[in-house]
Amino acid sequence: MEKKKSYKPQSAGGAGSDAPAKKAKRASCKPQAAPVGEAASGGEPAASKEKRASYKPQPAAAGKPAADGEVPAPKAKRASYKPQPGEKRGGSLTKFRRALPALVLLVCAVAFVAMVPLGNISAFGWESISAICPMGALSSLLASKTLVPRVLISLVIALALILLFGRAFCSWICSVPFVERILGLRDGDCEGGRKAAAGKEKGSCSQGCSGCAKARGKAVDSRHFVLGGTLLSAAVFGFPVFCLICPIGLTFATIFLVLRLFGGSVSWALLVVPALLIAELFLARKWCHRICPLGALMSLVSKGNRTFVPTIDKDMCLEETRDAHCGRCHAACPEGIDLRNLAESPVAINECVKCRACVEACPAHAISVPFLPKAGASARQAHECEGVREDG
Amino acid sequence: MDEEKKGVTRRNAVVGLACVAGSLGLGALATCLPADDVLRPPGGQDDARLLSLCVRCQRCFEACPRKAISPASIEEGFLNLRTPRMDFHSGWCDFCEEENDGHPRCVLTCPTGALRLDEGAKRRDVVIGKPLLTHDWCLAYRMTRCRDCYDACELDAITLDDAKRPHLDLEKCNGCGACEYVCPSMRAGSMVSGTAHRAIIIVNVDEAGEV
Repeated sequence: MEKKKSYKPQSAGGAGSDAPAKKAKRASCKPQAAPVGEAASGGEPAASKEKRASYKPQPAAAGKPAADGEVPAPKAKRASYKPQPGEKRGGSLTKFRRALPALVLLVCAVAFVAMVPLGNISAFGWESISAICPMGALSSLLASKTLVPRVLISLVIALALILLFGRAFCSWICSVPFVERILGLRDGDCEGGRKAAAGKEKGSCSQGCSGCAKARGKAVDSRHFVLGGTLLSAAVFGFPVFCLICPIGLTFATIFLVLRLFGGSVSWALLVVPALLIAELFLARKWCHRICPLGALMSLVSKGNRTFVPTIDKDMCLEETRDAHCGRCHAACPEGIDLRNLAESPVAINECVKCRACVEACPAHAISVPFLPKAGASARQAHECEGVREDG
Repeated sequence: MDEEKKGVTRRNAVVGLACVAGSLGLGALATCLPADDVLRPPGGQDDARLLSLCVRCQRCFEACPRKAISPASIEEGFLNLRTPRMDFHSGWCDFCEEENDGHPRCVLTCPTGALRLDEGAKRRDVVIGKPLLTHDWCLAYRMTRCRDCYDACELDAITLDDAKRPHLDLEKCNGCGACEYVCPSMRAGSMVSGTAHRAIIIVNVDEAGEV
């Protein structure tokens, strides 16, 4: 959070490395976006938020005259929506989501200092009741080759939670994105970091977050191999191998070791643990998309997830109602899921981290994350998958 | 399209092999690097079992009401990094006699059962370690009449001879660490060796004794 604040001033110049600037860039790079409308309104610091609010698919919305004949009026208007550097990103729920991992770290740290053994997200709980990380639970079962009842119960609970919430853990609780943001390896929700945002890496982030996300979720990718490899390794060498280097565990260990400093305990671990954490996240850029076996495990289980699935209301989607090119939801998605056309989406829906970036990005407020699939939504989606979207 | 697919699969195979090899390599590296036998909290005396189940979650460190458990550092081996070990400089283990009626909280809290005591296991039956007494460092051997360890020992494993110098009864000791915790030698006024050493410390069973 602080990080974001700290580079705000840079964006005042317009071409800064800041997130809003990137967002603007993303909008401008959309080939279908009306170029003239964009240019015309690019300079005006108009209250874009108001514009977005007022921008509803109402028939009288014809704002600026379209420059070339094939661009319908609403598009010009939409293209004119450009988040200004001063504008705050996301609603209160998004802010809460971003703050939650830090809050979790803080609560665990305070609980540790106050001698209230709450644990941490590797094993959160009270006294003998704990929710163990499913990755740790699986590894320890394989490594010890015994069925420990506590571990099994924990594993079942974890799997049930993943079935209910999908990969929500990744964007709401996991401390890795937070640490990456501190290290400057991640900008907002976008893996790839400041470097990409600054445009040094040519071509990256031209399509928003989805530009960084490789095809995942449909077939096995590197994360699944890491998952299989670490589980195999745990079985072969007889200890939960991934737990040794898990960045979540290392983050909490770092906090723990720093707090223990006040008790006078100094050891090399105080240097080694954070160094290992930083080295991992620096060497394996895009840890979440490439390495994380916990994410891989969750994405596999999430294939059975039917709740809290972001859904486009076809009656409100600009692409449907106005025959327009929008694609904001796809561009905003940090996982690269194309909600409009799941059949052709490079990333499958089971990779959804329930971050609501698409909900926030949709200018028509057409996307919701309902608890249960809306009646008829699946039929609509199916229709969308089949139907070829016609261009204007 | 077919070629592209083949390219993807080949790349996938290479990436997959690299990932699996890396994971196996990490396991092999941790196993091959030298690792000390560290003193484990109650119920973790079978080291192989503890390592196979421990997910390094830190619950036991937090649960210990006397802060007698600390994460093992890198000096004790990469494999042991962040696993629990006894740290008698900040506390000692009475099996939570006062705090929890003799049921150690670390065992109660351990989410994977890496720390596990048999039903009805008594404090005297579980050997965490045994003491090592270094006469050169012991204040009592300089005729200072220090008897802190003798007073601290609840299991009568330390006896005093005629000159009021402590001697060990290894049979009775279960390595609770009370003696190490109270030992003033090399703690007060010692800058040379830091504060890491004590005249009486708890070590692995085979290193115990008096020197």
